[in-house]
Amino acid sequence: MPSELGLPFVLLMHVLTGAGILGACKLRTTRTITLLLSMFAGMFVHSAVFLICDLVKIPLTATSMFLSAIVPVLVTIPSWKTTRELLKHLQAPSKHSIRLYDLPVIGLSGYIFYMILWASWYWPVTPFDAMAGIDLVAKYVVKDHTIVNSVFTHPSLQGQLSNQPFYAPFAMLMQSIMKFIGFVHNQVWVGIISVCFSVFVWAVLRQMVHPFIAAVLYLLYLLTPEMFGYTYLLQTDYVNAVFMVIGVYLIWQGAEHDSASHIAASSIFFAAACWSRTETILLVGIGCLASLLWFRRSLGTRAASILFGSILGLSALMFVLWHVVFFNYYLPVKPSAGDQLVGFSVDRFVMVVSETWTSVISRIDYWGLIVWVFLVAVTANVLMFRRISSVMLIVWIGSIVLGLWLAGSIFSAAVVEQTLRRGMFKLIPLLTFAIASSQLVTSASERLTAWEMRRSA
Amino acid sequence: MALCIWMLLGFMSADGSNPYAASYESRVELYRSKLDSLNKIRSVRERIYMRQMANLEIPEYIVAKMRPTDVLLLPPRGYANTFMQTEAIWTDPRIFTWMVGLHNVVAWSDTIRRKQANAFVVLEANTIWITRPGGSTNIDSLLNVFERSK
Repeated sequence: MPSELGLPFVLLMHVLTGAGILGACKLRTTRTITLLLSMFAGMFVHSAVFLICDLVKIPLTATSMFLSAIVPVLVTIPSWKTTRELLKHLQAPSKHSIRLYDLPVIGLSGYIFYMILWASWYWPVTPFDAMAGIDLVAKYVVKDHTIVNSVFTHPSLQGQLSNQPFYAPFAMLMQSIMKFIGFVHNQVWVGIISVCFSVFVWAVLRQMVHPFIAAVLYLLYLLTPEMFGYTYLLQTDYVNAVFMVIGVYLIWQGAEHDSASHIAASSIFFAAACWSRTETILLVGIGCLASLLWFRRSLGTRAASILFGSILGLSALMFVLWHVVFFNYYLPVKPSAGDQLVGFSVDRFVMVVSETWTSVISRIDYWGLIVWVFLVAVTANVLMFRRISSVMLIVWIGSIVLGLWLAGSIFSAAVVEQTLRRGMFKLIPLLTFAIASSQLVTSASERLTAWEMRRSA
Repeated sequence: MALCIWMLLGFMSADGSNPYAASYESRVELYRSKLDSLNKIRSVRERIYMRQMANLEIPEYIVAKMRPTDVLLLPPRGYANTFMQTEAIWTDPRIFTWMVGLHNVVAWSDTIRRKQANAFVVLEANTIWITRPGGSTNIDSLLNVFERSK
C-alpha cells in the first residue's frame, strides 16, 4: 500500500480502536476531544499489539503491521453498541460557531501546524538520543523483522548500547510502524501527534472559558518556546507529555463531575504514558495515591480503591511488559539501568530542587510567561478569593513536580538541565488549564460572556 | 487580543530579547524563508548531510575504504573533536551504525575488543585516512594520541 494511503488507513484504524475503547468506558465529551482521544488511544493500542506480535514470534513486516492495526478494531466489536452511540455523537451538528476573533488564531495555528508537519516530514531524525536508540532500533526492526535485532546482537555494538535503545518502546514502535508504512527517514507521526494535541488543548480551553480567553491562553501554550521546538523532533518526552496530560485531564474531569467513566478512560492514557517513558510509573503512582485520598470522599473507599487499583495495575502491566518480560525473556542484552539507580539522599534531592528552579522552571526563555502567569493566577486566587480552583489539577501538578524531583534524585542519568527540562513538557499544558480554571480568569470569562450576550441581544 | 499581542510580541525578558519572537524566528520563519529551496532537495542523503555534515561524510568515507578483513577502531570523540567544528558524534558506534549500517568496527571504549583492531582512523586538518599495521603511521604512537585525547 502506498504511504499516501497507508497513513490515513492506519490513522482511521487508530480512531476506530480508540472509539471502541472509549465507548466501552462510556466516556462522553465534546466531538473534537472524543475524536482526538480516540486517535491517541488507538496509537497506543496499535503499538502494544505490534510488540505482542514480536513476543509471539510473528515476523514484523508491513503485513503484520497493518493486521496489528486492524485486529484491535475487530476486538472492540463487542462494545459496538456504545461505540455506535459515540460515533453518532461525532456526526451531530456542531454547537459552536466560528467568531471573528477565532479567525486570526485559526490562521496562525494553521500556518504553524503546516510548518510542524512539514519539518517532521522533511527532516531526517536529528536528536542524538533518537539516532542512538529509538530510530536505530526501528531501522533494524524493518531490516531484521524483529525488535530483537542486530542492534542488540552485532559485535560492534556489544557493551556500547548505554540506555537509549532500551527506552520505553512507544516511540520506537511508532517509528517502526511509520517505516513499514513508507516514511523511512522521517518522524511524521511526531508532527501528527503535536498538531492533534495542540487542537486538544485548544478544545479543552474552549470548554472551560470564553473562546476569546481560550484563544489567548492557547496561543501562549502553542508558542511556548522550548516545547514548540520538540513538536517535530523524535524524542520520548513530548509524546509522554501528551499521554500524561490527557490522563490527568480525564481524572480531573472525573473529580469535577464525579464520573467513573472519565477515571476508567484515564487508566488507558496513564498506561500509555508508562509505555512511552520509563520514570512515568513513579509519577502515576504518586499522583494516584494523592488522588485516592480525594476520591475516597466522593466515590467511597471501595470504589475509589478499585478504580485507582485498575489505573496503577494497567500502568504497571505496560511497565512490566517491556522492562521485565521483554528485557529478561527476549532481549539477549540488558540495560545497565540498575547501575544508574543511586540511593535517595536528602542532599542530592535539595540540590535537584534548587537547580530545577534556577535552571529550568524560572527560565523565561524556555517557557515564556506560562509559569509566571500560573503563579500569579494561583496567588491571586488564594489572596482575593481565599480558595484554590480545580484542586485535583493542582494535586497532579504537585505530584508530577515531586515525581520529577525524585526521579532526578535517584537516577544518576537524569540531568536536571536536560531530563527535567523536558519533563516540564508534562506541566506546561496543565499549567495552562490551571490558569483557565482560576477564579480570576473564570470571572473575567463570565463577564465577557455576559457582555457579549448583551451586545447580541 | 491586545494583551495577547503584547505578551507574544511586546514582552521582553531580562536580557532584552523576546523569547516567543526568538523561538518563532528559529523554528518557523527560518524554514519558511527557505521552504522553496529546501523542497527542491529530494535526496534523503542530502537532507541528512545538511544536518550532520562531517558526521555523515567521515563514516561514508571510512566504509568506502574498509577492506573485508578490517576490524576498524573508532577513535575517541576527544581526538576527532580537535579536527571538527561540530561535535564528532560519529565516533559513537551507535551513530556510526545509524549513518552507514553495521560494519566491523570497535569503539574506543570497548577495551576488550580494542586489541583485535587492525585498522585505525587517522585525522589531520582536512585529511582523513585509514592506517594499518606495517603502514607509514606508527600505531602505538597513534594509540597514545588517542589515549591522551579521549
